[in-house]
Amino acid sequence: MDPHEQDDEALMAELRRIVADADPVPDTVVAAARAAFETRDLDRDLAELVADSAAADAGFETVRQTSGSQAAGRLLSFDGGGVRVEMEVTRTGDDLTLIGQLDGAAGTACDLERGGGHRTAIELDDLGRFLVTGLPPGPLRLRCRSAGGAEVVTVWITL
Amino acid sequence: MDPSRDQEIVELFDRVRAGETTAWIELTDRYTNLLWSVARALRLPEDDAADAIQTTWLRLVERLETVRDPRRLGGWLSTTMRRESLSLLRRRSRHVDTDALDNVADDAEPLDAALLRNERDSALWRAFRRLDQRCQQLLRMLMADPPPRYRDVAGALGVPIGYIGPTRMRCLQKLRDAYDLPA
Repeated sequence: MDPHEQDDEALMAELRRIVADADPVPDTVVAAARAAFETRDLDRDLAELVADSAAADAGFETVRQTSGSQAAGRLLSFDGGGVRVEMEVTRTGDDLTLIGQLDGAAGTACDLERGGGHRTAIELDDLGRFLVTGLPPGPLRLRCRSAGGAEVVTVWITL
Repeated sequence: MDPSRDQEIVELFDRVRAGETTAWIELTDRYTNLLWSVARALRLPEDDAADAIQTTWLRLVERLETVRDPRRLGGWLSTTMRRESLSLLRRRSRHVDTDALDNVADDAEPLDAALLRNERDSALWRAFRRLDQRCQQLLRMLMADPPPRYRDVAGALGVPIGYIGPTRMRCLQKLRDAYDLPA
């Protein structure tokens, strides 16, 4: 290693030590990474994200409204395993509301699964519509049974 | 490039796919610091950084069966992390031009100066913060522990791998110059 390269290595090591001290990875982040493995599930079909109104097509986007609430929601569509989900997400402060409709699901309920492994049942009406309020931000997915009897989960999405 | 390290990842990944939780822990422990460094380099606040990292790991679990080349895992993680981070920045904060990372809002000072151990550390950090955004982003990612591979950092920055070495050298020289100036 030439002396210059050696200097660079030493300086990088110094910077690495400083951030390790002052901006360490929070324990909760490490714990969530480890716990993610518990969501492994081999016996299911995946409903892919097929549309997202917040996808990065335009270079610039105005997101936060001055009032703190978003006038227009984010529209998401998932499709796969015989199930189609359309939903709109609106956010007020740290409170999310989901309004949506499921097509091709069996029964009258699905599960809403959060990144930490927490699951809640959501009820579907006759037309497969659902409403979830008071949801905190973070990764989530829906888990349903298709009319054909298969277990279907949507891909993870961060709201 | 580094065959023994590649081989290690391939073996670790095989154990993960076989369902070994200890292998998963080893894998996440190896890369979570890099993902954190990517998020902080892109100026994500702590909560958003945590969400983006968790989503990145959840996505890997979701895709475990379809990963074709585990040697590229680091690159997959860092590009997924970059996408998640930019998407969160766009939705949750303010105007972000995804084509020009220079414009990422500078509102998440990751280091509390008071936390810095001594005068020398603080001076060095102040000098770092005076660098242009591109240098700060690259160097912050390179501060990951263990030191990341250039190809993984290239994925997180969305640049060719050949960009990393020369830019690192130039940025460290700038840092030295700024550091030598009286505050």
